[in-house]
Amino acid sequence: MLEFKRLKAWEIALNSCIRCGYCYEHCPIYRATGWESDAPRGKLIILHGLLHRRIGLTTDTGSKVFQCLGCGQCEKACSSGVPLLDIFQDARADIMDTGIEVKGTLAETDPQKCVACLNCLRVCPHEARYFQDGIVLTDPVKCRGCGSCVDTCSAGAIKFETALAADRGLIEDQIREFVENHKNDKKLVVFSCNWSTYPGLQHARFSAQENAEKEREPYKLFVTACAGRLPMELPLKALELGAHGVLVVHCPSDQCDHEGADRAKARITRLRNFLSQAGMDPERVRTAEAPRLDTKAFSSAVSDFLRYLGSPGKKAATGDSV
Amino acid sequence: MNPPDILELKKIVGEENLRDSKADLYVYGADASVYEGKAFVVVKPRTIPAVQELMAYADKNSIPVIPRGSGSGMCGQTVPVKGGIVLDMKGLNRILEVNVNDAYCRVEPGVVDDDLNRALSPHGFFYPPTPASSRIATIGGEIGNNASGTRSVKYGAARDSVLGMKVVLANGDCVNLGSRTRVASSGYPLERLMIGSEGTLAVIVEATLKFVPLPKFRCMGIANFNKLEQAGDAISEIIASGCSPSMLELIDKVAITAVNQSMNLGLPDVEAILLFEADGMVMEAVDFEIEKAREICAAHQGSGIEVSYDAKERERIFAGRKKLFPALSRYREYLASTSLADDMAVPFSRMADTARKIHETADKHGIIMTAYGHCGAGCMHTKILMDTTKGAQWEAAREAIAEIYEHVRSVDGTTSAEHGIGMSKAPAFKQEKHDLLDLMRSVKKAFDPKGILNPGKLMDAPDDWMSAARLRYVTQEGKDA
Ligand SMILES: Cc1cc2nc3c(=O)[nH]c(=O)nc-3n(C[C@H](O)[C@H](O)[C@H](O)COP(=O)(O)OP(=O)(O)OC[C@H]3O[C@@H](n4cnc5c(N)ncnc54)[C@H](O)[C@@H]3O)c2cc1C
Repeated sequence: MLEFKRLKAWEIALNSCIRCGYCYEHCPIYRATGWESDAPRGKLIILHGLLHRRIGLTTDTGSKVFQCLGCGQCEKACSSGVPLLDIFQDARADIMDTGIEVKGTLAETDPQKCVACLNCLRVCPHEARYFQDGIVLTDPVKCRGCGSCVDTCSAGAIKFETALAADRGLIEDQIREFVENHKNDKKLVVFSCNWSTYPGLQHARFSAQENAEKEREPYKLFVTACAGRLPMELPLKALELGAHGVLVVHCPSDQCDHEGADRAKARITRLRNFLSQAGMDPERVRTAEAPRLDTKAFSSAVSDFLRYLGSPGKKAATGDSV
Repeated sequence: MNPPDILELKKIVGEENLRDSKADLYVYGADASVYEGKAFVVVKPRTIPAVQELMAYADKNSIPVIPRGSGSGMCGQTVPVKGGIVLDMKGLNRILEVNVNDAYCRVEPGVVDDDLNRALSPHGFFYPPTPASSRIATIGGEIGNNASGTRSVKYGAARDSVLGMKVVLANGDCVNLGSRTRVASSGYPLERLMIGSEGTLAVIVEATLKFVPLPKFRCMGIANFNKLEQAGDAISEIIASGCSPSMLELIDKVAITAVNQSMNLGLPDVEAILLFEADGMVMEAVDFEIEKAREICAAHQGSGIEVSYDAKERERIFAGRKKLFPALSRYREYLASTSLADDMAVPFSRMADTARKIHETADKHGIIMTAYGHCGAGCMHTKILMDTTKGAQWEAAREAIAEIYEHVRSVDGTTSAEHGIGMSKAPAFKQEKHDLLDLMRSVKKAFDPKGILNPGKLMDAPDDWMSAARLRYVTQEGKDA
């Protein structure tokens, strides 16, 4: 019997959501997928439906609330003061009590690879890892998808099915589409940390657009959970798919709660070395620091990079692929 | 009405642009209204030919199609009451052209208002209809509802900014309406027919909009009134004086109490507050307008009058209005702030007595209603704060709404100023336009012979708004409200 005991306590709060959608522009998941059912308002509507048994609990309906990075931007933007994070947290707990399988922006452990070193347990800032039956597992209620565990795992046993805010396949498809639509342009793919440049993002997009005097966006932006969570393969894949440059935007080290900035920088340094060794221009992959809400840092990093890619004589501008 | 063939639709829009899971359909069944419905499928076309193919398919198979922007409409405009295909138009979201020399821009319908304004501002222009919901409202949705906003008192509503558009008809044909010029004299202005048609006539796939210069100076003022009637008289005198404010907003006592209770902004304990703004390229001209408004407010016993050009100060002055929604949502813990009888327009001289009528009617029926709005444009908004878990409160709301709209008609007002009709305001709309309903249905038939476009809305919505669709709220007895 489904009870939604914890969620029941939020009934008034669910009613107080006026469904204005002011949360949309702030949600990295919605920004990545563009579907209203992935936005915070959509999640509240689903929870309302589950609570009142207007929709049944299935992996599909139950999983939505697990597709959330817990950044809390929605709550700050909420026109009705709905405590979304607490509601999502309680809903997750209720749903896990039912034993259904859920999918989300959650760390997953490969039992074949886990050597039970317990390092991830120590580094997880959300106490979302626990030891059971010889392996370390994720508590889906607590996991915020920050990726700290992935980096610390020397056995390579932890992964995210959805590497960023959206699923990996979708990101690759979007890069492909972007490259296809910008055949004659310099093509820049930007991975930007949700915690740093967001939510000044929309602003930045247009300033950079203006600088480049392009009708369409001269670069493709993906919002990542934490820059530290970006696996090295993705920037590499972007180059392989035809991007001329990849920019990874992260918080200043002292502002990052996940040590993500340092991890991102280290990873990109490795990638640059790799490019050098392969005889390619390492400048095609860069990192940039953007303090929270500082849109200028973001847009000037993008504009600088675009200028670099467009400058004559640079190898990058020829569009050689990896 | 028939369910669509999902495979066929996937072929048209591409697999990644279609969703039909239970969770998706439930979300796309809702908008910012009190209603819920259920679509068969949601599709996100990304090209005009895809929209054409979808419409031709739906028309051939008599399947309802509901065009949707961001679903921020408050009256149930995008709720799929008869199932059907929800067309999520946010996939068509490019700004196609900003033509400064010819003073127009062309945009796809899924462009969000704020994004358009961000693109225009470097050129020194802005698109003025801008509703309060501009961070989410799409241009298609603004045209569908004929949206307007705080600055419409000077710059008009969506209707005043649309020059032309490209639309896909129910049968899949794509036609151009209107022009790119400021004047266009002959023939039926069919582009105007689309504005405020709430997705019932055609699917807008491109709009040509005019824009206006960003003013160099903006000055905002505030005045407090002990009596609502004093504020009402000030409003009509400001307008009658030939003064041209760029904003004239009313906030009533309920709203003031709500804001003070939840945000501690320290607004004065008065019956009404007026916010006024003037803008322009020359400071003296702005001064002239502001002075006039200030004098008129003072003549009507307005107190605590302040004015400022400073951006931060203007923000402070406007804070009470800006925080209205969250404040109303937090008025009392068990009261929900519902979008019912949410807007209306009345002549300037009837603003105060309409606000008074709203309060008295609410008191009589044991609910709480606030009256605020872009009164410089004749627009009055309300929210009904009620315990949505009690069936009796719904009955009270029903009676109050009927009485309020009867008053609106009696003072030569109109049912909707900007939020539209959808289903929740349809009973009042149909009473107001009783002699036009057949004509409107004939127009609809000419565009959409099979009645597939957003059926069950506007003049075709049921006479009882409460049973028009399932309400999102559930009463204590566990029944749907
Ligand atoms: C908190 C809040 C504040 C608001 N403030 C204002 C305000 O100040 N002024 C105001 O006017 N409104 C306001 N609204 C109402 C609403 O946000 C606006 O009317 C807005 O323009 C709707 O845009 P949308 O993209 O959400 O449209 P939707 O709600 O998705 O659609 C609105 C209508 O347009 C039709 N439509 C959408 N796209 C198309 C298309 N491409 N072709 C044909 N038809 C289409 C739909 O079928 C529907 O009938 C407010 C709403 C909220 C929740």
